[in-house]
Amino acid sequence: MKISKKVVLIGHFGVGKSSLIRRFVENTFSDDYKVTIGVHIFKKSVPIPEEGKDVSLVIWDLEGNDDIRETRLSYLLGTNAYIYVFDVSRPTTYKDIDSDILYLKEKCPTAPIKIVGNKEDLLTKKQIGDLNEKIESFIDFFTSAKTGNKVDELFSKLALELINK
Amino acid sequence: MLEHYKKSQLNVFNQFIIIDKEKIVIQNESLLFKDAIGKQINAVHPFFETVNFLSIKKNEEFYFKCVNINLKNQHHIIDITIKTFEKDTNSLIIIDDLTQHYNNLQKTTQIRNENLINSQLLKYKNQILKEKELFKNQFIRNFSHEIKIPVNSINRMCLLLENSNLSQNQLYTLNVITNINNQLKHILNDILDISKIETGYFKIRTSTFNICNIIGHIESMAKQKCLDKQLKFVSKIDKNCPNFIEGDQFRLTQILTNLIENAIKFTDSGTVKLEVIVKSKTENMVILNFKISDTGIGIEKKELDAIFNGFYQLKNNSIKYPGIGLGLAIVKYLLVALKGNITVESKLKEGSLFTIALPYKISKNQIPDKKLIREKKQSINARKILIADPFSKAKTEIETILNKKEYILNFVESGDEVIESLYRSNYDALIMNTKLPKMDGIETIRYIRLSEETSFKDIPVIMVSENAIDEKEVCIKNKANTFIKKPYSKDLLIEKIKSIIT
Ligand SMILES: Nc1nc2c(ncn2[C@@H]2O[C@H](COP(=O)(O)OP(=O)(O)OP(=O)(O)O)[C@@H](O)[C@H]2O)c(=O)[nH]1
Ligand SMILES: [Mg+2]
Repeated sequence: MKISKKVVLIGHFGVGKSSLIRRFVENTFSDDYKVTIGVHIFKKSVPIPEEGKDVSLVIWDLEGNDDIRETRLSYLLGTNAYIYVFDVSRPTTYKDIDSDILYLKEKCPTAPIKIVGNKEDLLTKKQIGDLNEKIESFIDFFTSAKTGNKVDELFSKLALELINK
Repeated sequence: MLEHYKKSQLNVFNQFIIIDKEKIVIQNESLLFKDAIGKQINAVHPFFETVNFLSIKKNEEFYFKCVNINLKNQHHIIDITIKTFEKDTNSLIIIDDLTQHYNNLQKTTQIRNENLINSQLLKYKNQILKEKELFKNQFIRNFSHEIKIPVNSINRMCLLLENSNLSQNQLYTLNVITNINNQLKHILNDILDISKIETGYFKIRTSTFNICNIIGHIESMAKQKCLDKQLKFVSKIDKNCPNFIEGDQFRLTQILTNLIENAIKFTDSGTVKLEVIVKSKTENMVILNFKISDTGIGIEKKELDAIFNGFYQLKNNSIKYPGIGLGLAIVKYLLVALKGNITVESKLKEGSLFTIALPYKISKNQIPDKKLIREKKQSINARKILIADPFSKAKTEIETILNKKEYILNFVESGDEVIESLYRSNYDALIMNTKLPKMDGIETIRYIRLSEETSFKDIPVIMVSENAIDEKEVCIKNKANTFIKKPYSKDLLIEKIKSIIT
């Protein structure tokens, strides 16, 4: 049987969760913002050449809020991995990152969490470096759904981690 | 009846699916997943793939609200309920299609989120702009400070040159250089002031002062300047004006001087006038209007607003009336800092009237005159000494050496503070470390000796330093009265002090 894993994208509104998924699943991007309400579910199969297998990622694109504690708990049931997304151009979206991660760990202690700073195309390399210094939590990837930078890397790395779990 | 009708309508949206323990669809009423029967529920939609593990839980209900599903190019937003029963039995899936309701919700959320994001971005951009502005101002501040040092050195060199047997022609040229250098110094001070206000380094120094004295000083300065242009200067003070008020007299002088110098600059014949009027008065507070009027060239209506911007020059006048036009900008900045305001009325070719309003506290205990302080001091024989040293150890050292009955000690840590203290109060001597932050000791004594402040330019100064070899000569060259190397003995310090205070 094919391995299937539930991956949840979570974070403030407008940080680019839906855009990252659209880039990953359809390889497209739009500058228009369409708010997600509730949850969208997508599926994409990721080949893992190292293991000679495929992993099927069922990706839950959650609606963003001001506070992730407002997220409906049923959405988190059975999650295999989280991608916590923030917007590098809006400090409000990363100011609570540490406590948010703690909250997610509490909800699903075994699920790996990838922390992603999206919209890296809006800042210079130096600004990204400064931001990385400033935020205490380890940022796994600085991505851009717009240019596609590091999007595939993010999902492939996660898929590889999940296949061995 | 309405209730009944509503209920039946709602029920229309409820659609049921039953799966068996193998997760195969055995009954299906749903309109959305029409061909599901006989299939593995996982294959019906990826949603079920991630929740089918729930079916092993006994007698529970799980609610998944607001799930977006795309089916055959149709977008639905549904609530899904999963109900489990006893072990190894069927499970029930209930689907409510609430697309319309959620679409409305989507619209309001869209507006809310967009507004919030825009305001967050704006706030952040403003913050970055502010930081940039601050950086710029700090840069300007440090930069002007750095330039002041060579500018002061040029002044000193000019003084030396002046006393060195120059020909008449050479003296004239030197005079021009000195004047230009003084202008440069003036501009630098103005820029420093503006940047200090913008970076929040600006200090308001409140003291009690006699308003008549201030106006008197300004009048003598203004009359001198008017003489050159054959203008008349008059000043007038409201009889109701309290004699002693509390506020920043230094900045008041600066504001009035700037405005009066400006008035003189733009007036070729006639009168420049300064008037002080009590605008309002309570028991403790007074608001004073200072009116500065002239019979000069006047300002065009459309230029009135712009004249307070830094570097603004009245049109076509920059040749006849040179200067970079920081004076009025400073006045405006200072007034903001002092919680006052300024208005201007003007008629082209007739003249201008600047009116400023400033609040002051009315002083209850009048301070005695400086002269009186000096007499009192002499009567108790205590000497007032200013000590500038950035190391806190120095403070305790000197305090133990110098007897409290004989000396009144005041400690500061930087060159800036030395100058500030000297402006504020009279001292009998200054003991200063050569190593001071920002403006060092050498630079500070240079400033003191070159200043035109009769109250402190000749103050006796003892310079203190750790490395005597290099610095003694420099200190003496810069007109320090004496020099003392650290560490020093108690007797030596007292001897040095006695040698410079008569
Ligand atoms: N410049 C830039 N813009 C991006 C990027 N990713 C997303 N955006 C823009 O950001 C806005 C929000 O993107 P979404 O993907 O809808 O954000 P979201 O996190 O799904 O938002 P919610 O659904 O409200 O939680 C859109 O206007 C996107 O075009 C990116 O990498 N770079
Ligand atoms: Mg979204």
